[in-house]
Amino acid sequence: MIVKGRLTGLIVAACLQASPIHAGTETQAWVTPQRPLADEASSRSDQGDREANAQVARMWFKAEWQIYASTFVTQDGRVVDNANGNVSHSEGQGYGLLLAALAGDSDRFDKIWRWTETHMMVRPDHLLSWRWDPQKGAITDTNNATDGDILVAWALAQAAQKFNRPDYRVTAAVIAGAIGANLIKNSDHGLILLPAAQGFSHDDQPDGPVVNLSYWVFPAFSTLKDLAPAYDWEALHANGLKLLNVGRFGPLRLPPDWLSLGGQTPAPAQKFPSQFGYNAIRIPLYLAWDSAPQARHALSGFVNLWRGPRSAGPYVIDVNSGSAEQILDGAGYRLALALARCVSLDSPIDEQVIKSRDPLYYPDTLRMLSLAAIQERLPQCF
Amino acid sequence: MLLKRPLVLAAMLALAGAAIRSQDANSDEAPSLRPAPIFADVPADGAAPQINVAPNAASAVDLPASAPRPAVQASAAPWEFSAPKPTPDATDGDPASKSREGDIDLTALRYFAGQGDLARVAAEIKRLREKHPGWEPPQDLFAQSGNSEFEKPLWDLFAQHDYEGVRAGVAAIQDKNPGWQPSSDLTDKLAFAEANDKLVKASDAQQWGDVIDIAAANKMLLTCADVDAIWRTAEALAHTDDEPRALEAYRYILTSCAKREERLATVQKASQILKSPEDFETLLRLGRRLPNGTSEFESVRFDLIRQKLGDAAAGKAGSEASQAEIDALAAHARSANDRGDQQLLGWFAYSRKDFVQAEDWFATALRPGPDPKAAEGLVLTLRSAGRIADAQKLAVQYAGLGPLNRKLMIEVLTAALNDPAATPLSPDDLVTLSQAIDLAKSSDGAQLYAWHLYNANDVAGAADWFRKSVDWQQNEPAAIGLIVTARRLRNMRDYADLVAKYRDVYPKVAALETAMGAARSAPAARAPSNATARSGGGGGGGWDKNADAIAKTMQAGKVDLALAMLEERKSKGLAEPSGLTIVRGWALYQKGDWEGAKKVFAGLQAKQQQVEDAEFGLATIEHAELPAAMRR
Repeated sequence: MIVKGRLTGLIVAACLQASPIHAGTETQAWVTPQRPLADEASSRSDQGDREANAQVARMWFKAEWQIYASTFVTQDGRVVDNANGNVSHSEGQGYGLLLAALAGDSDRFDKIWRWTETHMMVRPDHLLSWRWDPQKGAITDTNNATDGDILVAWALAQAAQKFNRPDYRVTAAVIAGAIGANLIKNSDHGLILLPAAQGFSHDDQPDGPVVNLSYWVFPAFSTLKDLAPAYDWEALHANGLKLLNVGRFGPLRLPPDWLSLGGQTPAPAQKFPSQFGYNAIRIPLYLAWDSAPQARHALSGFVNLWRGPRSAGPYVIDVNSGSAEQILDGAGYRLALALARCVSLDSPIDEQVIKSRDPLYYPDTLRMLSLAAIQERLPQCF
Repeated sequence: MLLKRPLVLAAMLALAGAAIRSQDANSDEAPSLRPAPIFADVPADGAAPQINVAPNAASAVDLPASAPRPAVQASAAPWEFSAPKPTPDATDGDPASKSREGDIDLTALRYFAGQGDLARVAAEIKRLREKHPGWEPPQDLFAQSGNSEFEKPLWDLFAQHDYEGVRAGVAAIQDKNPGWQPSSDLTDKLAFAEANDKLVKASDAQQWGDVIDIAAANKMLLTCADVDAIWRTAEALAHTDDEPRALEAYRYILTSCAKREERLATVQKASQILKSPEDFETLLRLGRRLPNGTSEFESVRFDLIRQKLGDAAAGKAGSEASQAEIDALAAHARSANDRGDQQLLGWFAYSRKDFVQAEDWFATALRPGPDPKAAEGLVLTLRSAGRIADAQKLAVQYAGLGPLNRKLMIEVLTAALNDPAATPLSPDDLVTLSQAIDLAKSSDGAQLYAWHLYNANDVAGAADWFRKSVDWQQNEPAAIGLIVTARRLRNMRDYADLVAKYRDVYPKVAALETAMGAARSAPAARAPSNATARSGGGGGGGWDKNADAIAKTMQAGKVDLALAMLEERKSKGLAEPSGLTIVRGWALYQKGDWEGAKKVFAGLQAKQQQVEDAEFGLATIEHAELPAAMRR
């Protein structure tokens, strides 16, 4: 009944979000939900609460999805990046699809998918063109972004099962096969996943191939293996973790967003800022989501990037010097790192960290992904 | 009581040890930053295969045992001595990191790194880079990023010296997190601590061969960060007759390690361990020059001499100071006007019965003003030199300096009180003495003073002091004194009470009672008690086997034979010790010759010999002469 009380509180909090923020507005009219009562809060860690926790986490996620969707998803199914000129990209569409599928929101899923298919599935190789600009009403870069492709395939596969839509699965398999055919490559450093069909190979970069390990959506790999068994996703997964381990630099031993594999040893890629930043921040999130034990081990390098509400950071960090650059200012960044700590160290997540929302698309999406991971497989972190 | 300085040295050693231990616990100093170990790599034929951490003590000890103990010392030079560079200005054992870090204060950075807080570390790096353009942070801030959270409980166990617990913890984490490795910081420090533990245990158990084996297998121990391990290894080497390498160990510390107290303690240790004075001199020459131009070990040199003199003065066995050393300290004691050293030299001379030197040193030490110990030394010296009058004078003069001085004064004066050969004390001295006895509640002083009054015919005064004496502490002479004075004062009720009270406590009182009984039922042949006869042994010189035989004959109740033997002895011209005269008195008494006995006892009393026994005899006769009605 304590759980119920909490749940009621959350639903009330959710209902307080009466006026959705429409895509593109800069208003920050979101309201921090009320804290549950103290006894309710303490009951969170009580033994036997796990299943109840899982239920609450699912409820909480669904309620939050409604708010997120009403904030960042347009009526016709376009996920809006309100920090980047309200563009849409395959990554955002993929996230939208994934969250909708996990929230069981088949209507929204269908809308987002139709928009995505219509506007982005324009390449002959069945990968998605990655960027659509509302100013032009058109794709402005036909290249793909591999993480977007993976997310869309993964989401379609889950929706196929959840909403009993075999057609989604067919499309998912097509995209997964396209990823395998075009983006999984052999290299001197083992099997790699190119960030895009164009621009990152040995020929395209002075120190190519260049990879982005935050594009390797590790928890999706087992699904991708089912969708496109012709490709060695397991080896790719293992090599990703290996590269993650050897591709860490500087006094803080952090991976850069962009990693060059052209040399004898991995190095921060020359043509990109040698930063642990907005891309790599997703790595711990994906590792926490992933159920493979090796992924959990790989998390240990990230657990101290942010240590709770009274701690500094997290920051974008220059991997070479270890120097802090701008702050990663958003609830989603903090929640993703808190989740990493929870999985790696069994340390509970501060309640405020779970409840804070972001006005911007990217950090709020990371927040929603973290909540999705929690309600999917980590209710103990809730 | 004499040896303040050696104690200070011991305390210093203890402090140095504590400093080392606390440094061990300090996780900021990684073993890798320590200077080179003192022993270079084991040569090809070497005893010790290099092992990182032995899983258990036995194997670590066993491994180097391929060259067992005798072989270790027999092999010509099993360990090359890596000549370490002297680090004259380093303030700790970590010069490398200090110079690299230069003037930039990395305290906060290293603190945050120690906390494992990447965000704060990154922010601090940013701050430092803005402040010091071009500065690059050290790459070793984290041995392995992200380990600190896992390792925190392990470090807690480590801090509690639960090394087995740490190993179990590592295994448990690895169980849950395949592929996880503890940081090299932890494994290094754990290996270091475990090896150090083993070495200390072996050293404490005086397993010298094991100590050497452990040191050889764990060369990382033998650095400035753990001079205690080097000391223990050196000690083990010395105990296995490998003094050259022990010397090398000490030399390593003095040429490589910077901590002042550790350097001093090293010299101190070496002085106890090294047998060769030349070797020790070699070490002393490694002392650094202090700003005042002296060597840092000059004080140590003196401390060692002080220790030798102090041990000698206290009668402890130890290496003897050479005359040159004594002269050096004497010169220092004079030039530096060091009262402590002056007294030490005084006590040393006193212990050597060189009273001239002793008097000189104590007098020198007293020149700036009164000092209890120096005064005590001077009085004792004069008394031992037989200068009783001077001793008395100074004993009185210094009696107020402290309880021990007062006690000594009472001793010196009362010794003179009842010694007929001594110069009589002045009335002032007697007043001083009696006051001092009162102050000190000296039971012995009181009874001696009482006998002095008794002999001077102040019987009432004597009774007061005998009373004080037994009040402060029960003792036989004072009890006898009380009985005798009561008798003399005709306090027959007191007399009887006292006899009854002390009869079972003191043999002499019992003998008195017996004698009285014998006298009443005369002529009974009762011998004086054993105690009385034996007390003759101490009375007067010339006690010999014949005297013993006479006393025993008397004890056996053969009074006539005893008297005959006494006459025979006299006829041979042998001296009659006062104890034997007492026997004569009692023999006459028991023969019923009370007048003869009275004369004998009175003669002793007059000569102030065997006073107690003589008085006792006289009192007995007086008692016996009393009419029965008064005897009560």
